[in-house]
Amino acid sequence: MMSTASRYWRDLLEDFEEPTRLTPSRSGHRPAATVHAASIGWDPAQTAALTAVADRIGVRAQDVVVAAWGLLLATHAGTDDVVHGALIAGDTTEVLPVRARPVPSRLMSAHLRDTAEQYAENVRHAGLPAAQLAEASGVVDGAALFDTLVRCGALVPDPADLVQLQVDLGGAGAQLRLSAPADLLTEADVRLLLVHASQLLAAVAAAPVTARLRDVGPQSGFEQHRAVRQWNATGTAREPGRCIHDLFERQAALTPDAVAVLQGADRLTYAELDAAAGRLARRLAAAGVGPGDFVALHLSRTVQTVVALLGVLKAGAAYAPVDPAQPVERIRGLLRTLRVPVVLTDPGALPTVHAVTEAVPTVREVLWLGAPGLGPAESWGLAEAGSVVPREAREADVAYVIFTSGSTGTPKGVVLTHAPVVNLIDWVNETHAMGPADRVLFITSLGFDLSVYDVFGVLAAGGSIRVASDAEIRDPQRLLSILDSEPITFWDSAPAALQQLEPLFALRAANTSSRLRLVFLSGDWVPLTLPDAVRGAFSGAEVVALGGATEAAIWSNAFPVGTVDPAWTSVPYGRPIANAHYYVLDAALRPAPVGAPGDLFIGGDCLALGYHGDAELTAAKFVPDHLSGRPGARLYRTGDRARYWADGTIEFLGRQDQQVKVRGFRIELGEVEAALATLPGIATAVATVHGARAGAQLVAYVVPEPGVYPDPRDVREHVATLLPAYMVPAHVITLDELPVTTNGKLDRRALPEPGEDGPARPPYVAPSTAAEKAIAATWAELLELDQVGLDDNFFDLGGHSLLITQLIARLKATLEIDVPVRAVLDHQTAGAFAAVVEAALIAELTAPVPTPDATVAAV
Amino acid sequence: MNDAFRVVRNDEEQYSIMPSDMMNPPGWRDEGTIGSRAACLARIGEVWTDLRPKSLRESVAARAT
Repeated sequence: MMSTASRYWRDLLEDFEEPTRLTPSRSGHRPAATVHAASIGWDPAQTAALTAVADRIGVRAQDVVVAAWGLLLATHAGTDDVVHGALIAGDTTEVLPVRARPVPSRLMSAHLRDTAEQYAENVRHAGLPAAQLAEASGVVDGAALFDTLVRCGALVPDPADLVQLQVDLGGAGAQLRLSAPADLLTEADVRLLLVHASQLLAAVAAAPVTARLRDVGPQSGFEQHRAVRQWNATGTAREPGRCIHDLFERQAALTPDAVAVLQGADRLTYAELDAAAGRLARRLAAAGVGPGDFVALHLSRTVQTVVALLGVLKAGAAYAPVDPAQPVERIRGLLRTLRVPVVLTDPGALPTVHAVTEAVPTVREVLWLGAPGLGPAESWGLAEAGSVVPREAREADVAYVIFTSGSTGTPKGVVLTHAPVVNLIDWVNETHAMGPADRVLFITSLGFDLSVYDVFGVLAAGGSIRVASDAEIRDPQRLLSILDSEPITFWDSAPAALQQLEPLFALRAANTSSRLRLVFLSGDWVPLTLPDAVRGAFSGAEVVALGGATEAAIWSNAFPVGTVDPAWTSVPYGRPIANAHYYVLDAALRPAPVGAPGDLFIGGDCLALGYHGDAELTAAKFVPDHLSGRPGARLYRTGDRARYWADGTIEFLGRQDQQVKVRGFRIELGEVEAALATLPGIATAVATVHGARAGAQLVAYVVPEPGVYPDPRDVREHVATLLPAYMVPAHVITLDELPVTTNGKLDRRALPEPGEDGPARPPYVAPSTAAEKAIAATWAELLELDQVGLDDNFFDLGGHSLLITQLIARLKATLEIDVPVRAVLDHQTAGAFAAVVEAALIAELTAPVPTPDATVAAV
Repeated sequence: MNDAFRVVRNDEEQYSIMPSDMMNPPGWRDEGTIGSRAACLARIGEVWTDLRPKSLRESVAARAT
């Protein structure tokens, strides 16, 4: 039998799941068993104004105080659904939960009346023990329903375990006191929260009857000005009218004989590169290509990649990278939506590309790049096309489109113009003094916008691009050997790509001859140990963490990583770059207070035009800029959660939506789920990410229709025909039904971990030879399994690229052999891999002992 | 909550949405549609057919062969 009181509280709290918690602005050491407190006294006139506004609205001043606490918590905790404790002396002696769901557009008076009514009802239903109230709510078992409290009445001693605002309205002037245990808030946080409570009450007291909640905020004008203007004082004059390729052409005129791009013996000087790109531009112009057109690049990684990029821009057109490894239908979809007239490719890929483009009527020509004679003369992209003059690009023209995962199941094409990219290139080259001595090891795919800086930025500085081949990129040993043996000064990647090399650092002496001086890490969480590992392996290297979005021209914030503070939970985002504006905003689109989580918006001279062909998504994500005062400007809503530190540094807190990053790749879980759902026999599907940060893995959960028993392998193969490889789940787990919360929502926390119910393992075959036993033991340790049999597959057991490198490093350390990464990819079972290791051991025994240098050269 | 947003447009004929109780920032004007977020976005999907800013559309057209 449920009492009336129980039913009342259940109705009020049932769907409240996330307890409202304030987070200290600074993490790290938390002194135990102390309470920070601060007080403010109001003068009688201020107090009278508060009472007057309460009278006008028809509530009591105490009700206004309770409501203000809810509003303040919503802002400081960065949430729109708050539960806190409240006690108005004289009404009750009991602290009662109050639920506040402030809507910024709501009239303040209506919200205050609602709060007063709710509080009165709560008092009428008082009497339930705290544990029973928590149970009536949706918070997980054992968690406290609230740990913040507002108390109106004569001041009482500060509680030891709650954040508490006390307001004594008894005297002529109100007394405000805020206290918090030191493990919940710092002393500075307590002072700020008290000042904000006071300012918010003053704002309410001064507000007109027509005021809405968004008009009454806790922050002073100075605080808002500081966040909006001072922390965004990034204005830097730029020479107008320049296109991305203009930067290269100027450099080509200055240093025509310097090396611009190389891969092994294949190399082009600035003059040669300029000439080749010019021929390609004329050939494209002869094919009718010009401003407004998209040229698709379907290329392997060679020096011709750079010719293609420059040639398209010189033709006045924009480029659209196509990953040749993508499913054919996805490539066709991209060509169709962009109405691509010309595709550039390698001579060897011509038959493949023709097969793709046959079904795409807009494609008029497929041109190939490379040395003459490798393909048919009529489709050679570098043939001299005669006197045709390409139409020139302007800075407001589109330069490229990069497709990223889209939540609705179709990828979205982010369209960038020249100007924001030129601004970014200028910023990097000025800030980091990039120059002719710099050489980048170019390892990033063209579909990942870091590549834009690697190519055009480095060329604008007069440096050179060492294009890593597709084979080199897959092999961490070779990449490390290139860093050690070639004059590479600059590394630019997602953290995971560099982390792959990390286990190998320890196997070599710290490299003092390396010229690596600058390491850019972006696109994902930077593991806190990575900066020191990099600096240990390459003395003299500076590590910079960068962030932003493809929608905001590659990077728009940066943080030079000096000493890693042990109190950090992640490397901070840092500050906006030149001419970029960053705002952390609350639900009412006002700057969030220091320390409070909010939504990150980017403005300034760095934004994309929008999403190709998707007006609705563009309008939803690019919103009117109400802060900078620039007429007609827009802000990009990143979907990132972030907060300000007291010095204006921005800390990234995660995503507010279903976008995840797996090894630097941006993935919308909705797109993966949509692909899973297309498989016949699947009733419903969910995708999620397991594992933290660098070890993150995409996991799919499928609920089949009755009588259907999907093989995980078939599911993965099916998804692989629809999505790029990085979006194919590492594990597919079949469930009878999806776990749901009491409210019927998907309970992501209850989804089983992969491994608990991973792909079916083959029958156990015990290892017998010494090599087999060693490999089985090493795998079991790496993959955290009890035992590994000879027929077990490395990848089915949860192995991934980071673990391959660790495996190789261990074999080097324990057996003193060098096993190439390919060996793991080609021999995926423990038995087959053990045979390779055994052969390597035998070769080692029979071969002359190599010197350490020879070992490096050989890999 | 059915009139929570307005469709707005700037001089470059780029569209977006504004919470209905907020004033338009400089350079943004009402398009005329008021409604839920979804209704406003759907309206934008109908009327905003070329996502390029007006000045870019005109400059490309002027350079067309």
